[in-house]
Amino acid sequence: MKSGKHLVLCIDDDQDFLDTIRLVLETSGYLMDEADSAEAGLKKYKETKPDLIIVDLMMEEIDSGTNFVKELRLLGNTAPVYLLSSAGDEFFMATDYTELGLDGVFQKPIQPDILLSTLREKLK
Amino acid sequence: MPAALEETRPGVGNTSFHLPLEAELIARVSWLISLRWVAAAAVIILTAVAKSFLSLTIPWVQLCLIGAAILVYNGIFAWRLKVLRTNHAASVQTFSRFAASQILLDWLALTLVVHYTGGIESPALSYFIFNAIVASILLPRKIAFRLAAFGVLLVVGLTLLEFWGIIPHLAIPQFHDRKLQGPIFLAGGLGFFVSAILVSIYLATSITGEMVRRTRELAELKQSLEDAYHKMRTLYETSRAVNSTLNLPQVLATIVRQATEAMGVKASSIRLLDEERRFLEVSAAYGLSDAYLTKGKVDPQRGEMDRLNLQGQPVALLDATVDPRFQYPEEARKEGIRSVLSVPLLLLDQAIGVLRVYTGEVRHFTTEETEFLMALASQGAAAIQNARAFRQLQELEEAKSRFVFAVTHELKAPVAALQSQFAVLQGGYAGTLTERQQILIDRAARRMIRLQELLRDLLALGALKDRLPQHKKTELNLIELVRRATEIIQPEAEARGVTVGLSLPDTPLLFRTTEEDIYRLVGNLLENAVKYTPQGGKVALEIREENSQVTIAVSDTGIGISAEALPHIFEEFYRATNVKELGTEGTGLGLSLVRRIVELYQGQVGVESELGKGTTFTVTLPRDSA
Repeated sequence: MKSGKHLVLCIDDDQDFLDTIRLVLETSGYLMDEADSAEAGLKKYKETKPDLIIVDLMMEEIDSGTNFVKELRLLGNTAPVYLLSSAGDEFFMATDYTELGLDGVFQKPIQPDILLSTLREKLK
Repeated sequence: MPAALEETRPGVGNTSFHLPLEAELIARVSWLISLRWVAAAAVIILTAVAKSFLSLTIPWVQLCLIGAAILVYNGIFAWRLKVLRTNHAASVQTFSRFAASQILLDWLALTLVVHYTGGIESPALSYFIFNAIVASILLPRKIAFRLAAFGVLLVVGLTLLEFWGIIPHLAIPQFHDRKLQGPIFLAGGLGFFVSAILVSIYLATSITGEMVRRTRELAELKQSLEDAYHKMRTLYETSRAVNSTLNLPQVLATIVRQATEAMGVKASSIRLLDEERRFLEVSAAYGLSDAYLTKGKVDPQRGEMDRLNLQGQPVALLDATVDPRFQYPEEARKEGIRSVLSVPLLLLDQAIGVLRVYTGEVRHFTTEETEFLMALASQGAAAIQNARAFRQLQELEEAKSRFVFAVTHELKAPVAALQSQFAVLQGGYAGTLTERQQILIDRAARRMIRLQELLRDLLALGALKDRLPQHKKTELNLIELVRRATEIIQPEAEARGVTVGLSLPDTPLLFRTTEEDIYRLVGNLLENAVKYTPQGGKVALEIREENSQVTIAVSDTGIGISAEALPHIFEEFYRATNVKELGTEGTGLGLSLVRRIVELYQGQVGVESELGKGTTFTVTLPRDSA
């Protein structure tokens, strides 16, 4: 929490997507930090200690998102973590995300209303 | 026919072929004829001896004539036998009759000899026993008895005729007058007695000897049959092992174990050429020590045996410890190896390795054993080929997965980003839109949804098209999957005012499948039904299980499909005219996906439809389509 605003860390390798999310978050009173890879995301996480994390399931390689989540747990993360997933991803279907200790999944394309209502719920 | 059987037929040339029973009879008749030469000679010689040395008063001229007569008729018999042997049509009966006629003549000849040597007192009388034995050996019991009856009649007749004086009784004086009976006479008399015993033994043992030989042959035959059976079984089991798994090390291990056990040897090994085809490396071994297996590189350039093997020839070494063709004689000695049989593993006529068996004692490997090991080796080669092909398929599958992932990511990501941007614009997060802007953005967003659906279906179709049979399926409850697929469609059905009714069995229905396949299959059928059914209509889904197949039927009260459109609905991108007129969106790939999935399960999909009334799609899937 910085200057009364919640900080959301968003990790995705698609800059257009990050910019779109930023537009939604910042117009709705959130701060957003971004990273374009799991590795950069971990670095950012250590620096900024965000209040909520959204990470793409599939970035440069299969499972990079799930590995990122495992790393986060090792770092003792307590902030809620959400995965981004493209609808109908076979790899996602085969993964039980609750087992990973995730709080939920956002389907791409992102629906701003759903995103915001979830954030409001989690970050009171 | 095995060689052993061929050899059991004495006297049968290669040019004529007879059944075992005939061959047997021919052999015995031939034996009888040989005996008769001796008998005829004996009659003449004994007559001469009796007359000259024993000074017996005997009608020697008549006796010699009888001997000569026997020689003559035996000559005729010998000639007749020769003719019969070359006559393929000659049956067992012909030979039986031939044998019986010989015995009849022998009875007559012997009766005459008895007559001329003292009738009922004749020492030759006991020789009738020979004829009886010979008849029993050659002919069935009934005929032997009849012949014996004939012989007895002859002797009884002779005795009575002599008794009644119709023919003279030619007594030999020396037999009655003790004064005339010198030591030589006694020796002669005893000679008859001893010869009767010896000839009886000879006759009896020649038949029992034959029987013993037969029994031994049978035992040997049984043994070789058992060996052959065992080897066949080994080959069968190996072939089963080869076909039941694609795990190469396991198959090769099975082959070396089977080779060791089936051939009764000390150890076996399989060596395969390395990638440069330079050295032979151990791939499987049974009964060999680690020290022996790691003795060093097996180099076909240095070992003559390996070189010959790789040229496709089997090689047998009687003693590997001294044979210059063996590369490691000293190591073989330490391992306790003596003989080695090594055969090539051939794949399309090219050697890819060797299969070897090792014995602890010197052993001559037979052609049969070599052939057996070659057969095992070909099983091994087949297994290697299978495993290699499978590995290539796996690599292909992995490459395909990587490609599909990349394409999916590359195509879906920009569409998802675009859609997200449209959603943000539509939501007014980037400022309020004018009415015209709003309309355009909404249209673009709708087109974007179609594009997303098209991508989803295309990628799914692509993935299904070259899916391998070993795609990971598990036992899942079909009822549960269908129920969930229905839940997904429910909101859209409600929005359109269409009710979806389910008729499912109460008990779980286990089916080998993947979640995705069932979602796609049932989802597409339900989606179509809901989409093309007017408000207030009904969609019904039913699952039946019957005769080891599962039937999924989806019916609706929708717009129906025209007879012209019906044959084309499963074609890719095909959309019926009435569907287009309705203005509903669709990719034209939904039913192609359905058909492809059904094909993957070796099932069938059928459709019945009436325009304006409704449509029923019926999918049947065999339960054991693995």
